[in-house]
Amino acid sequence: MKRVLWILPVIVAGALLSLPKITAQQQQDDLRKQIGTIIVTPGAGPSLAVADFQSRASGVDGAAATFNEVLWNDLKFAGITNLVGKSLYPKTKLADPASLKYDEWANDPVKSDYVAFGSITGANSAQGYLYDVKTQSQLLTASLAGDGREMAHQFADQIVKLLTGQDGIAQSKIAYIANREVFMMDYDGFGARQFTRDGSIALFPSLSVDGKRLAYVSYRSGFPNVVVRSEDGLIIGSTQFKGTTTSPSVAPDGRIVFSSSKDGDSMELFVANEDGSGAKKLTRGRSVNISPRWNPKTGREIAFVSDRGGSPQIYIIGADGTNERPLLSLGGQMDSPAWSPDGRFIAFTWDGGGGGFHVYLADVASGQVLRLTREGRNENPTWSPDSRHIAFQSNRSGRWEIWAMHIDGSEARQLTRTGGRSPSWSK
Amino acid sequence: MKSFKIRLALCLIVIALPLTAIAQSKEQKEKIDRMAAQLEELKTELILVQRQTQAMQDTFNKTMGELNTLIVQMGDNIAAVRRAQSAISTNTTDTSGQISAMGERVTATNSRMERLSEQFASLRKLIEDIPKMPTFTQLTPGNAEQLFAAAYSDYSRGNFDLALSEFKQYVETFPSSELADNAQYWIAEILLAQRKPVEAIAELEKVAQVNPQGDKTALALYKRATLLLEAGKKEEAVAQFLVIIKGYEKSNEAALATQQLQQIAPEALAPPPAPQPEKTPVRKKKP
Repeated sequence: MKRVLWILPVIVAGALLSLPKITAQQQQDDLRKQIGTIIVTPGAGPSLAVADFQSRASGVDGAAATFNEVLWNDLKFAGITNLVGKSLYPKTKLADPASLKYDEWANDPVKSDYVAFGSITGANSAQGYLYDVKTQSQLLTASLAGDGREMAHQFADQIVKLLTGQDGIAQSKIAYIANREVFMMDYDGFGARQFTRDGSIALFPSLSVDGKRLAYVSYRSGFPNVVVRSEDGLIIGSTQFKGTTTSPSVAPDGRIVFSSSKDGDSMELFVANEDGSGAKKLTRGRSVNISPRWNPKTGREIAFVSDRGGSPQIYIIGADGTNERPLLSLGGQMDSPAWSPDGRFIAFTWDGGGGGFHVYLADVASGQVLRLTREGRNENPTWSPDSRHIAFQSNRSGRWEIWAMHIDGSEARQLTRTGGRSPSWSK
Repeated sequence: MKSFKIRLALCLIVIALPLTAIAQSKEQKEKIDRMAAQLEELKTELILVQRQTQAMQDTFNKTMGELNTLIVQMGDNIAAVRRAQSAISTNTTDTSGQISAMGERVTATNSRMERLSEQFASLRKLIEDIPKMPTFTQLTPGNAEQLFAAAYSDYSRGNFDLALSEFKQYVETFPSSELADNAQYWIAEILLAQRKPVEAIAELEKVAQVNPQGDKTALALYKRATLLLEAGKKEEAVAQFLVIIKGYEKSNEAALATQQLQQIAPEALAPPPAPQPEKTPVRKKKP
C-alpha cells in the first residue's frame, strides 16, 4: 500500500508535466482542422475531371501538350477540388459540348462533379468549357488567347474563380533574389526574368498587394537604401539613409515600412511615403526591431521582430506607432513574419528553440501555431495572393532555392533550379 | 370406271385446295384486319389512359402544390403562434425580472449570446456555401476568450462591421473581464478604420471607465488626445496629455504625451512656480 502511495505523486506529476504538450498538440490539431477547410484534402470536397484539350488545327500538338500539362498542375496546386485521375476517363475524345455524355463522367469509375475540356483551335487560341455533370449544366465557356502556358493559366484561374469566388493564382508572380539582382518568375517557377540591373547588391524584394510596386534594398547609392520601382521597372523613389537599412514592406495605400539604423542609431522601424520621403520613426528603444510586414488586408497594423525581451520574437505595432504588443513569445529565435493577404494568419521562421529553422503558421487572433516544413532549413515565407499557399526559401535540395506549398504544408514543389532567395509573391 | 372416279376425285381435290386456301387466306386477312383494328382501339385506349394519367398527375401535382402551400402557411402560422408565445413568455420574463433583476440579466445575456451564435451560424453557413472559403472556429456562447479572438480575427481580416458588433457584445457581456478595456479600445480602433473619428473619441473615453488601470487605458487616452488635436481642439488635447503624464507616468504613452506637449504646448510642461517662503515678521525683542 505504501508503495502505491509513493507512486501516486509521481503519476500526478507526470500527468501535469504532460499537460502543456497535450494542449499544444490540441492547438496544432485545431489549427490543422481549420486549415483543412481551406485546402481540399484527398477524399474531401468536390471532384473535377480535366479532359485533355484536343488539337483542332495543324501544328498545335506541342501547344496542346503544354496546355494540358500546365492546366493539370495549376488545378492540382490550386487545391480547390480533388482531381480525378485521367486513367479513369472515358476513351472517347472530348473536345466540345456536343461530345459530352454526362453519364460517362458522373458515374463510375470517373464519378466527377465537374468536367473541364476544350480544344486548341490555333497556335495562340483555345476554347475551354466547364460543365457540372451532376446537374448537366454549363458553368463556363472561355475563349483563351496566348501561348500554351498562358492559356492554361487563364483557364485555371477562371475555373477557380467560378468554383470558389476567389481570384486564382495561376497568373500571379514571384519576385526573388538571384545573382545579387531582383528576378521575377511565374508562380510555378517558369518564365524567370531579371527585373533589376543595379549592378550592386539587391536584397529583400517586397511586392505590393496589387503587384504594381516593388520595394527592395539596393546598395546602388553606396549605402543600403530602400528603392521603390513600378511594375515596368521605373524608379519611383528611394530613401537616403547612411546606416543599415533592411526589409521593406509596401502597405495597401503605397506607404513603405522598413527597418533602419538610419545614421548609426539602433535598428528601428520607419514608415515613409511610397517614394521614400517623409520617413517617420515608429519604434524607440535600444533593442533591434527588424523585418516589418504590413497587415495587407487592413494596412492598420505591422508585424515585426524585436529582441526587446531577450531573444528575437514577433510583435505587432499600430501603423501610427502606438499599441505595441507581443504576438508570439515562444522562445528561441523567430524571424521573417509574413501576414496573409486575408489578414488571418502570420507565417514566420522559427528555430523551435534550437531545432533548426522551419516555417510556421500562427493564427493572429488565437495565437495557435502550426509547423509547416520538416526538411532542411526553411526561411522567408511569403503568401500567395489567395492566402492559400506559401512560398519560401529552402536548402533542402543542397542550396537555397524557392519552394512553394499549400498552407497546410502539403504539395511542396521546387520553383527555382539555379538558386533563389527572399521570395515575395503577389498578383 | 373406278380409275376415272379416282381421277375425278383427285381433280376436284386439286381444284378445291386452292379455293380452300384462298378462303382461308381471306379469313386470316379478315382476322388480321380485326386484330389491327383492335390494336388501333387499344392504342387509342392507351392514349386515353395516358392522358387520364397525365391529367391525374397534374391534378396530383396541383394538389401537392396546394398542400405544400398549406403546409408553409401552417408553418408560418405556427411560427407566428410561437412568436406570440415567445412575446408572452418575454413579458412574463419581464414581469419576473421585476422580482429578480439578476435573473433577467442572465436571460437577456443568454438571449444575446444565442442571437450572436445564430448570426455566426448563418454567417458560417454562408461562408461554407462558398466552396473552401476559410471558416470561423465554432463559437461557444459564454466563452469570453473565444468571442474576443473571433472579434480580433474579424478586425484583422477587415470585417469591421462584424468585429464592431462582436467587441460591443464582449463589453456588454463581460464588462468586468480582464480584456473588457481592450475590447472597448478596439471598438474605437474600428471606428477609426471606418473614418469615424468623432465616434472614436467618444469610445476611447469609455476605456478608462471600463477599467481605469487597464493595459489599454493609457493608450486609449493618448489616442484620444491626438484625435482631439487633429480635430483642432488643442486645449482639450493638452488637458488629456497632462492626464496621461500625471496618471500613467511610467507608461510609454506618458513619454509620447510629453513629446507631443513639448511641441504643441511646452508651457504646459513647465513646473509650477516654487512657493515663495512666507516672510515672517521679525519680532522685536522686548527691551
